[in-house]
Amino acid sequence: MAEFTLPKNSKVKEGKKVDAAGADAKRTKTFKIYRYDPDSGENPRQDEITIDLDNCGPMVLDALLHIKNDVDSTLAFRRSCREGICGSCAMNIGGRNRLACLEPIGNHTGDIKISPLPHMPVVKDLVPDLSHVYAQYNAIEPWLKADTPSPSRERLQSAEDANLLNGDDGRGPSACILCFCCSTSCPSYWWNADKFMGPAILLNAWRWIADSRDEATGERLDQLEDPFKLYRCHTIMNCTESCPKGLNPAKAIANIKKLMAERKA
Amino acid sequence: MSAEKRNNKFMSPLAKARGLGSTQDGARHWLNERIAASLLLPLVVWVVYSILMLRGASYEQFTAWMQNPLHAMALIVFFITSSYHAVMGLQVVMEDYISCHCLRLVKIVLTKIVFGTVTLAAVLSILKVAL
Repeated sequence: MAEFTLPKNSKVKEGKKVDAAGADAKRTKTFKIYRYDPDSGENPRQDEITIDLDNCGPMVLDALLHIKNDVDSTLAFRRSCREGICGSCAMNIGGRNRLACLEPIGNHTGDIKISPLPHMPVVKDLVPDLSHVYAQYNAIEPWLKADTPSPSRERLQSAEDANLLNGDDGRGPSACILCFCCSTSCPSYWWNADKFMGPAILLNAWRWIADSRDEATGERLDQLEDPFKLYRCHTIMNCTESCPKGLNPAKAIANIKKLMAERKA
Repeated sequence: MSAEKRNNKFMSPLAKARGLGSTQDGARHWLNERIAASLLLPLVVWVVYSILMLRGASYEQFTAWMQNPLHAMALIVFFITSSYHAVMGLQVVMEDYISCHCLRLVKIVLTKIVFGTVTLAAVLSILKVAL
C-alpha cells in the first residue's frame, strides 16, 4: 500500500539552533532547514538558523548563500544561475515547491521551513537525487525525430505552429527548465514514480508531440499509452500550481489524452 | 522473465525508467469512463426523480411502473452503466494505492466479479418484475 508515514530512519529530528543575527540586528528571520548527511548514519534533522536580513539579498537563495558563507559551510544545496533559468535551486520552501532564487523572503511571514523536493531520494541536505527523472526524460527521446532527409536550410514551421511550443506569452511547453517542482508536487508521482512519467516529463513529451516538424508523433503516443505512464494523472493540478515559470503541465497532459482519444475514436 | 526477479541494483536509471515498456492500453479505459459518466448524468437525475415520484406507492403501483418498457430499459441501462463506471473508477484507485502487483490484480478481478454479479442480479430482478 501507499506509505503515509516516513520510515524510521527518515524521521526528521530536532537539530541545532544557531542565532547568527547578533544582538543589534533589526530584521531577523529564522530558517528551519532540513539537514541530512548520509555519511553520519544519523536520521535527518531540522536546523534552526536565525540571520540578520540586512546581511543578505532579498531572495531565499540569498539567505541560503549567506548561511553557507558565514554561518555553516557544511550546508549543501544546488544553485547556478540565480535568476530562474537553470532550475537548480528547486526546493520546498514554506510547504511549496519553489525556486529559491525567485522566492522573495518577504513573501513569508514567520519562520521559513526549507526542505528538499518532496518524495525524492536525498543525496545530502537540500540536494535530491534526480537520476530517475532524468532517465525518464531520456526515455521520451526529447529530440526532433524525422525520416525526411535534412533540408539544405532550417526545417520550416508556421508562426502558429511555433506558438504551440513557445506560447503567446512565452509560457508554452518549450519554456520548461526541468526544475521538477511540478513532478515532485504531484501525489500520483509520489505513489507511482517508478512507472508514471510525471508532469515535467509529460509536458516535454507534449512539446515534441506538438512540434509540426517532428515525424514520430504516433510512435511517441504509442510509447505513452499506458495506464501508468500517462493515465496516473488525475488532473490534481498541483503541477500547474507549483510551476515557478507559470507553465501549465496539466493542460499539456490533457492535450496528450485528447490526442489518444482522437486516434481511438 | 519476471521484472521482480531482476536485481535492479545493477540496472541503469534508463533501463529502470523504460521498465517493461508501454502496454498500449489505457486510452479506451479513460474514454469509456467519461462516456459512462456522461450517460450517468441524465440517468441519475431520472432515477432520483423516479424514486421521489414513487414515494408511498403500493407494490402494485411500483410493479406497474416497472412494467413500462421504457422504465425497465432505463433502469437496466442505469445499473449496467453505474456498475461499469464504478468498476473502472475503483480500478484506478487500486492501481494508485496498491503497490503489490499480485494483490492489486486479485483485488481488481474480485471487484469486477462482485460488481458483475450484483449487476446481473439487479438486471434479472428488473426483468422478472417487468416481464
